[in-house]
Amino acid sequence: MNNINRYLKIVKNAVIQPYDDIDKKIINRISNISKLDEKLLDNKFLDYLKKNNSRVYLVIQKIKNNPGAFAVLAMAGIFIVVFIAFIFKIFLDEEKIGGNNHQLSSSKDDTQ
Amino acid sequence: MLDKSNQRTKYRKVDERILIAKSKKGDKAAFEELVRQFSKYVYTTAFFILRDTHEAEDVSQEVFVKVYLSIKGFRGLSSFKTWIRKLTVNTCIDKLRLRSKTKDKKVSLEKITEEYEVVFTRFDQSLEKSFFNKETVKEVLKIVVSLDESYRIPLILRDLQDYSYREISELIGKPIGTVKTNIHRARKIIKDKLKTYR
Repeated sequence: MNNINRYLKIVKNAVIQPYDDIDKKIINRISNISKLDEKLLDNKFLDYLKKNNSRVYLVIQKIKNNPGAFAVLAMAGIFIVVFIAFIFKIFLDEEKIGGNNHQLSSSKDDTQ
Repeated sequence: MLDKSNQRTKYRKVDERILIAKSKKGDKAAFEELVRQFSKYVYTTAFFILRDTHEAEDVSQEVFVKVYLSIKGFRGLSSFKTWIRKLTVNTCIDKLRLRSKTKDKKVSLEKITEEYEVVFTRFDQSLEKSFFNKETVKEVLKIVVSLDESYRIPLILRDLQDYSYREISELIGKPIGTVKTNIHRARKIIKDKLKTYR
């Protein structure tokens, strides 16, 4: 099956050579656009265009298409936030203990 | 005539984004260059799905007319190729639906294999050295094109057009499980047929 996947990857780069000059035909067609052609921009197409121009829609689609990857990313994000909070807490605690020790030592000095 | 060829050379190596920006402003020469760059890609995509050279041509024209009329509204959040690819696939799926309603789905396979010539845009150098492998790839392509619609469409969308299983399922209106099974079967058919060719 690995070979098939490899061949299919190559097939992806295959181009069917049209017998007629397709570029010329398309350019001719767009040079002679009629009112009828405007009907091609139907509601379905306009909806597709609208969705494709929406960043939110595209992000949602990306998440929907790769829910596993998104879950891993989200978990990694949460882990990083928790880790930073943990380090910050340790740092704060140490500073607090350091501050208390300093206070204690300074009060000892005062009594002496 | 000379002006036209000069313009063609001028735009040949220009970045796709510049061509799009110019097309948005109504520069027809820039749009024509976009047509030259993407027409064969659109035609090939349409041909793989529809298996009919004439219909593939019609779809190509239709897609570029749609693009031409709406390019001002293209914001470029996805690449132009992705935009045009999805537009082509959607148009082809609509044609297939229409075809299934109006006429017989079966197209003569002999006609299909005789009517097209395959070229490769990017070919693995190690493979290019081996004539056998190149022929095998062409054989795979023929088998893909000859597959039944229920296997061919999901396989093409997944392996050649990079659609997700979910997108394919929504597009062809079949459950994800069926899509996965059909793609697996299609790959198995290709594998079995390749064995018999050798």
